[in-house]
Order: sequence, then C-alpha cells, then structure tokens
Amino acid sequence: MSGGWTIAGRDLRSLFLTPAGYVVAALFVLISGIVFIRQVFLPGQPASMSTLLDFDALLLLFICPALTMRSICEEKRRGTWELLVAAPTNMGTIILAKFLASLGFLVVLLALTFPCVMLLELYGRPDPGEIFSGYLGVVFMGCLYLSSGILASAISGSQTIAFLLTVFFWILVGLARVGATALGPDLADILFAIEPYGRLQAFTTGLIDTANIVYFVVGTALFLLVAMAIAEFGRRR
Amino acid sequence: MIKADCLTRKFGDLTAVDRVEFEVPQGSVTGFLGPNGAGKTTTMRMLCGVLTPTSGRAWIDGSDVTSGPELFRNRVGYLPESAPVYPEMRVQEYLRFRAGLYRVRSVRAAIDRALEQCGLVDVARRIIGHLSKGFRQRVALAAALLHEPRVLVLDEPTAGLDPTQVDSIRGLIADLAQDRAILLSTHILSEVEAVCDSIVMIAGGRVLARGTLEAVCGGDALVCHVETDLADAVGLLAGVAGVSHVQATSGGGGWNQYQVTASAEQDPRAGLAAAIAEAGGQLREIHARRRSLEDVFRTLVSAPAEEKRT
Repeated sequence: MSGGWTIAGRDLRSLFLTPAGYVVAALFVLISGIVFIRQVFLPGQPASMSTLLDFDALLLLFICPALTMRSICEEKRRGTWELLVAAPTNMGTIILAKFLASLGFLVVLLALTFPCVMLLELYGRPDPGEIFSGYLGVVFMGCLYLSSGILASAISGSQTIAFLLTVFFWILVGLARVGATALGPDLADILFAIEPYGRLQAFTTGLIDTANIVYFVVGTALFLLVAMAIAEFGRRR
Repeated sequence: MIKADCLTRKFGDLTAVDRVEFEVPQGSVTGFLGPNGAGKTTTMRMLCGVLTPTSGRAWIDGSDVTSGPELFRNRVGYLPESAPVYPEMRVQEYLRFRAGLYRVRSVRAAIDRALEQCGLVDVARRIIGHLSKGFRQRVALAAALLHEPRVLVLDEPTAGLDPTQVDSIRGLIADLAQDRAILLSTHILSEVEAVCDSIVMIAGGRVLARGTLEAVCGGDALVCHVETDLADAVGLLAGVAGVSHVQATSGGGGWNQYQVTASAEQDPRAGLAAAIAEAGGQLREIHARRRSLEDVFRTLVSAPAEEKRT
C-alpha cells in the first residue's frame, strides 16, 4: 500500500494545486456560510447543525463529482495512467488511493464549516452527539458520491461526461424516490432502500443506525470494486 | 534479460502483435523498428505490464510478466511514448513521487543521480509544465531511471528533440547500456545505426527480421548501381558470381539502370563489367556501397509477406 499512499498524496496535492480545488472549496464555504447565517444562526432557532448538514449533503451532489471527475480520465488523457499501471502497485491500490485523496479533500472542506459549530457552542447548547452523528453521515454520503464519481471517471473519456454521469445518476435515484409511492408499495420499498438522502437525514437528526452504516459502506465498496474491475478490464480488453 | 516468446495481442478482431519473438541480452541496446502502427508500442506495453498479452509469454530479468505482475515491474524502467509527466509538479517533486511509487530506498541519492545523469540539475526546482519539450522528455527519462532498473524499455526516447538533445540522450543510452538491457523503439533508422547493436524489425505485428545490425544488413554485402545500354540484362547480371539479387530500377536515353545486391563478402563489380563487355554492351556507370539498414527496411516493409529471420 506504500505506493498507494504516494498516489493518494500526489492526487490530494494536485487538488490543492489546481484552481478547480480552490473554486470548489470557496463555493462550498460561501454557500454553507450563507445558509448558516440565514437559516440556522437566528434567535429562536434550535442550536442544531442538522439544517446546515442536510443542505451541505445536497451540495456534495455537485462537489464530489467535481473532485473525482479528473481522477482517472484526466490521467488517461495525459498518458500518465500508463505510468501508474506500469508501477509495482495493483489496480485496487490505485483506485483506493484515488478515493482516499478525494475523501481527504472532502474532510478538509467539512472542517471549514467547523466555525459554525463553534458559534453555536458560543451562543447556545448544541448536542455534541447529534453534531458528531451529522458529520459522520455527511462523510458517509460523501464516500458514496466520491466512489460513484471515480467509477464514472473510469468509464468515461472526458471529465465533463464523468461529472454529468455522476450527478444525473444520483438525481435520477432521488427522483425515483419522490415518484416511488405512485409505483406501488413493493417497488416503493426498494426505491426507498437504495436512496441515500433519507438515510443521511437519520444521521443529521442524531440517529446512528447500523443498517444505514452498512448501506453506505457496502455502496461505496461496490462502486470502488466495479471501478477497479473496469480499470483492470482496460488492461486485458 | 528481455525475452518474448510467441507474444500475441488482439484488440477485438485486429491482431496488433502476432507471435512476436525476440531476446535482448544484458549489455545490449536493441532497436525496435517498424512503420507506424506496426505494433511496437503494444509490444512494449505488454513487456511493462500495462497490457496483458492475449497469448504467449514474456520475461523481464527472469520474471514472467504474465504471472508475477508486482514483482517484475521493479526491474523495468518504462518510458512511454510522448513521455507523459504531470505538468503542474516541480521536477524534483515529480521524481520524489515516482521514487515513492517504486519504493526506492535512498530517495535523495537516487533523485540526485537521475538529475545528474539526465542533465536536469539546473531545472530541478522548475515546474515541469514550464519546461521545453526536450527537458520534459529528459524528466520522463530520469523518472524511469530512478529505481535503477536492470531493463529499460524506451518508446521513442528522442522523438521531437533537437539534434544536440538527441546526441545527449543517445550518449546517455550508450552509458546506461553497459550493465543493462535496453529495448528502444524508433522509426529513425540513423538512430538505430548510431546506438543499437541489434535490431528487431516488425511490421503488421509480425517480426520481419531480427539479429545483430551486421547480420540483418547482410554483413559487408554491397549494393551496386549499374548503368548500361543493355536492355533486359537482369538475367545476365544475376548470372555473375557473387550476385544474389538484381532489380531493374529505371532508365532513359538508351541507358538502363540496375540495382545489384551482392552476397556477403564478395565484390562483383569486376565480374559485372566483364559480363557486360562480353555481351557486347557498354558500361556507363558502376558504383558500390554497403547495404544500409534503410535498404533492408524498405525491402522488408514493402513485402511483409516474406518472412526473413537471421
């Protein structure tokens, strides 16, 4: 895995070195700040991060694909992918490294919302358990989006397609949930089960459910495994 | 140290590499020649583990490239075509990344050595994207040398460089060859004559010729240019002792030109002149030169069906 840390380190640095990384970070902090000031940090409102975290989870739908869209297809375009594949690491390590790099960046982004928590602490009495559970949920949600973004980057030939593929996939899943009730109870149950946003809301209201953890972990692992299989297939095709 | 045995790669219905066999021993620089689309890059990718062969096997320094993928890759330094690098990184930073990827032990020393070897000391702190193409090519080459591989696979290492840069890269390759096996692809024939001791020539995915440079060119065989007023003299000239092949090339104004390929170690010029005189013809010009790689390449590539092994 030592080669993997090297790759992850390089990818993370490159996210900080390119303007795209800063733009994403700036937008995220700006929008989160506006939502916090206008919706949460008001007299009479409960001292809770759940509104902000629910909203940030929605933002992740656009931020995560923006972080991962370059990860594989850009390397292929530049020809550097060949260098990674020729190095003494296996495909699983490369994909995992790409995932960890984007997750690292996401954790930094979320850490930037921490002043909001401090403000709540200063003026109210927020429940630390609920805040912890909320952040945990957002990180899980991020993992799911990032892994699907890496899969999209492994499939497609361009960054733009990788971005759109990821965003539209999750919008479709979300829409399916909205329309689920009209499709009869059996199908609705399935659609509710595969949709992540409802599960996230359990986390942000302070409920850590094992079933939800299993859902996010399995979902993330599944996307990464398929991405790995596709990348490996590229070598054998 | 590099050995390919019946190496085959198919992309769908297309057979890009067809039962390719060759060997590169230690201390040798082997030129991998062929026209565009001949299968050079595909073969090199298979040797470096980037592509898996459809069938056949290959060994790098004794390790099978199809069975122990993580083991052999430490022993091969690969410079892909177009020398990819990360343009946003600094030279030193990029080399440190590659050293980490190959688990190089003393990173500092390895980087200093590679910078020195490739003449990059002055640009070590520059951003790769701001460097000229020649420098970028050298950065990619330096990165391939970091882990001191015993085998080097270089895909067109001098493409797009100016003549002085080409000279310095060739010098470096000759230095490196002393204790390594180097496979170098190119379509610049003069480059092969300058740095390689043996060659593998492929076209359409198949090996057309391989062996030492002398063996492939037919040793000291001469190619004679003959100009005479005799028409249809092909049969006459082919009958001269020491002639292996005669081809009518062109003519005009009552003169006919022939290209006569001699068999090794015999100079047929006197015989040719005598034969023409005996047949009552006039000889206007006869001159001989050594058979060049270019002659061999032209003949083989234009007639890929005939397989020649030396």
